[in-house]
Amino acid sequence: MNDCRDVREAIPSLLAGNLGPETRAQLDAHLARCQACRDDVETAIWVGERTRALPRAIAPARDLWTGIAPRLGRRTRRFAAPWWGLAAAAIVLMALSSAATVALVRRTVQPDPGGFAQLELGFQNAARELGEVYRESRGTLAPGTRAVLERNLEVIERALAEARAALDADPSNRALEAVVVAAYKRKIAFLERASAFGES
Amino acid sequence: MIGRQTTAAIAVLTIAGAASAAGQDRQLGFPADPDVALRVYNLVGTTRITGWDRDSIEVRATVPPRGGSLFGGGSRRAAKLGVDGQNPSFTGPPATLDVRVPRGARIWVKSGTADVIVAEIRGEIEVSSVTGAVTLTGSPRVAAIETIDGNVSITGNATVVRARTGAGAVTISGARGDVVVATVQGKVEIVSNELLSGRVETVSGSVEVRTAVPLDGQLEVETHDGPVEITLPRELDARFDLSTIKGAPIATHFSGDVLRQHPRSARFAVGKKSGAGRGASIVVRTFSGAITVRSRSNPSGG
Repeated sequence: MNDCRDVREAIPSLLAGNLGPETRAQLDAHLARCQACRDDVETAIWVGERTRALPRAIAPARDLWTGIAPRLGRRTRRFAAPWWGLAAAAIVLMALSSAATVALVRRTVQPDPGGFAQLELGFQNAARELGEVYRESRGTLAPGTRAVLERNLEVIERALAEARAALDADPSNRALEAVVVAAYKRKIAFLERASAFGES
Repeated sequence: MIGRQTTAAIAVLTIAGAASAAGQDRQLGFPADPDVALRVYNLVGTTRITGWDRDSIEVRATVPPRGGSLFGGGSRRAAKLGVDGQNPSFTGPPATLDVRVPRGARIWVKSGTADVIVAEIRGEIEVSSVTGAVTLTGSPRVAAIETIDGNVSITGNATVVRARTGAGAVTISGARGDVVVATVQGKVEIVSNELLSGRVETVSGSVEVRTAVPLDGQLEVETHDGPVEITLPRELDARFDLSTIKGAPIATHFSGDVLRQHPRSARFAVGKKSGAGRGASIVVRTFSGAITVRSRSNPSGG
């Protein structure tokens, strides 16, 4: 397995644990010397872990449901409760995993830069939705906590902007793609934590 | 599952604790299994948790007037205690909780600005804080610390360490097992005689690691612009994969402290066994941070 395309085709089987020992050994050998494929595998594992962590179904507790049900009749303008925040995050992460899967699958057929664009779109959507969830909950936070969270978020966003600008200047650089992906992951993880602070 | 008796006990103790609003010191005690699951809540002040060789939990607390009320109780298997009704903007003297628990306890602590000090626990400890500092000494199976701005200090041979901060600094000394640290701006310092598995991720915090890594061990550091400095022993079998995109040339000091500089990336192996495909894996990636890797006869000795 010397070709990056073979590795990308093997990622679904790797995640499913279906690779034979010989193929696995070949894949490991390739990964040991190919940073780009390691990044692909890490991203696929990350997305897979997030997807597996999602609840199979999200049902409100009975006592919550009595309060929520009457509100379903009218148009809900925004997520108003932590439960909905979690639901939104779950949906967004599912969309993200789908986008990432599509991106990875497309790359196995045709390694085009559009795959990364789609992956990034998924990250952007996730970050935007989680940002909305955070903004809904920030009013419940102590001013000091809010300031601390947002100061850190600024640092994360600055790093993301720097990485993105570098990728704009050198769009075929796979290492920079990996840096941008890592920056998005950090932003999403931090927004998840920030939203959780609002719920607690 | 907390039963009626347990709920009643909590209620009684909550009421008893409410009397502490007069500013009296309070003391609670109840029996507990060696691996009791304990939840501790104290948002403001100081929480000190110490393991002991008794099958009980003891709490000594000082809660100031209008500073909340002490509650506590539960079953032998699961209990919770803390200060309820705290106002984050309260400016009076802070509450202090001094808790003794069986050493094998599994403890979860919720803090806001309260400092959390944990010692002599062999079980599991999980702390969530906003700006409170977390200081842990001992050898717990699991130490999972999350704080936004508080500093984290972990000293001892914890098996599994997870530490996450925003701007808070993380200092880990003596951990040998599996260590994962993530910060946004916080400085990270890890010192160990031998670290089996370490991963550090930060945006702009500096990272300093001084440790040996065994043959099948791994150390991975990723930063955006935080500088990385790794010190390893002279006797070393390892494969290195170091890369920066916009940072200064990578500096490596091996073979008698001779400085070698690598413009953007460096992949090399040191030690006899690394030539056979064995050896520790040392990976550092950064966008614009400086990378320095060096060897010393005693890396953890400073």
